[in-house]
Amino acid sequence: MDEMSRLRALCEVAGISVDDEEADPLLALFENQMKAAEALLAVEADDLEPITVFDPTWR
Amino acid sequence: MAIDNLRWTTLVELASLIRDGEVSSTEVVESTLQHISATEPTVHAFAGLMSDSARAEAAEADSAIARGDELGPLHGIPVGVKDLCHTAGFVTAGGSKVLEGFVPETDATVVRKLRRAGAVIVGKTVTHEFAYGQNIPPTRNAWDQSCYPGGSSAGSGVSLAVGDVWGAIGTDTGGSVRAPASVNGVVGLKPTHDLVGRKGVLPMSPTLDTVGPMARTVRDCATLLSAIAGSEPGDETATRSPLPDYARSFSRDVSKLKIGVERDYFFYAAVDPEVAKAVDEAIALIESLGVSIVEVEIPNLDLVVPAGLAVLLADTSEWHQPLLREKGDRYVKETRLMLELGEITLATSYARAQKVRSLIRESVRSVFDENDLDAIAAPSSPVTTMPVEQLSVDLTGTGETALSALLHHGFPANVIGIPALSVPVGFSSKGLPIGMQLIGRPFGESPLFTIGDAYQSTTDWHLRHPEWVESKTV
Repeated sequence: MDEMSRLRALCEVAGISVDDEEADPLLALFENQMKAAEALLAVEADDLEPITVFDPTWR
Repeated sequence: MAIDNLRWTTLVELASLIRDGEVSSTEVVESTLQHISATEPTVHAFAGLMSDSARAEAAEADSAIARGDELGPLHGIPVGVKDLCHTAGFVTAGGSKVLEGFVPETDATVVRKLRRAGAVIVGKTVTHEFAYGQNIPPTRNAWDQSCYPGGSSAGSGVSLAVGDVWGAIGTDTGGSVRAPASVNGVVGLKPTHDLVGRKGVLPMSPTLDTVGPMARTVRDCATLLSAIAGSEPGDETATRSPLPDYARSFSRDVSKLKIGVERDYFFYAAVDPEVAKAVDEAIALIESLGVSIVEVEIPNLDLVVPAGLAVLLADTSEWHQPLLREKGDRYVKETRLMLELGEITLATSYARAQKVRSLIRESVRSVFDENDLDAIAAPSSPVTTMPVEQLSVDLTGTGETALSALLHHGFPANVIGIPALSVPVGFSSKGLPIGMQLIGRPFGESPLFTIGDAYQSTTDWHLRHPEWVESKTV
């Protein structure tokens, strides 16, 4: 499956339709976002507690 | 007293003059509305003017003085509010055709608190569509009308810089108070998360969004924060903890305060040398006032933008989900693309981003604690403003645009949830304002105000105004 087909499939699952003229810029944004996701996945995170309720204090 | 002479007076001074009967709120508001009508064709800072209600509120403010009522700290003062904040009976469109004509029945918490403090709301200030910062708003920079006004609280920053109002409200999810403050030469605070209630403010992300005060001086900004901070019945988003009176933050001895300077992230390659120089000179001046300065290293800051964006994209799209399906064609293309991107952001990315945020927060907390810091000083924005057509230009050949560079400097305080105060620290060779942000500990706004006020007491950057405005003064 090429990247555009993958994008179209994701959009279909999400329930949104994307015009042909906006598909290319959305794909560029999506590929950029996937690079960011890879950077996050490279972090050793087993011992990290996710922020679920946001308490900005750190004491 | 001649109204013309009050155009650039501080909010604190004007409040005193109104309280003492030297000038009436009605006179000030009438002058303000005339001044706005004179400046608006040039800068387009307002999405809508609330002239009738402002006149009525000013008249009531004057009556309250005549009756000898107890007065709030903002009594009779004209203020602008970003068009993301609900105003009862007046359109709140969020800068979008999607909400065109939407009239809330109640005020947002921040608007209610402003009114309770005596402020007169004169209008709704322009925002990028839903504060996403993707489209170019009609607003233009106060100092150069070919240039970007900052965003997304564009109208709030510009209206202050051209002397339209004495205080304004912005929102900051990734720098949206600090960027317009910086590029228009005014002061803006992104407060600690949960310090100011968000109920009634069109949201992006519940863990990144903040509502912040903007003004021309640090003292004015602190006075506004005192009025809007803290709990409010029916608003679960604001802290119930007791809070200091920020307007009285200025008696502290600055020699007991300590600032960290981080170079790798906040002074990276995309930072304009003129911006870096102005911020370094400001830091040196603050050191000469007695504040201790120490160079620090903070690991993991390169994860700020990836983690923040994953959260921002998904959270924002969650709120817009029904609107995107019902009125998708009414968004501007750039906003719609971001909302579509948020719809297909992977849940695993979101979950990992929330873990990474705690890693970043721990990195910053450790540096604050190990060095006993009160603040970290950094450029508010890596660049001065730029012509609007250059917003998407690659700054350094790395693929980073001017807009994404703004996020680079703005996002850390939001991702961690800590306060950041932007203060004017100079002008570029082209005459464009430069801002420095002081990033603090959670609920550590007071030391930021103390440092910022000490700096402004020995500099005059905040006293300079665009020359063209003088010809518009009525």
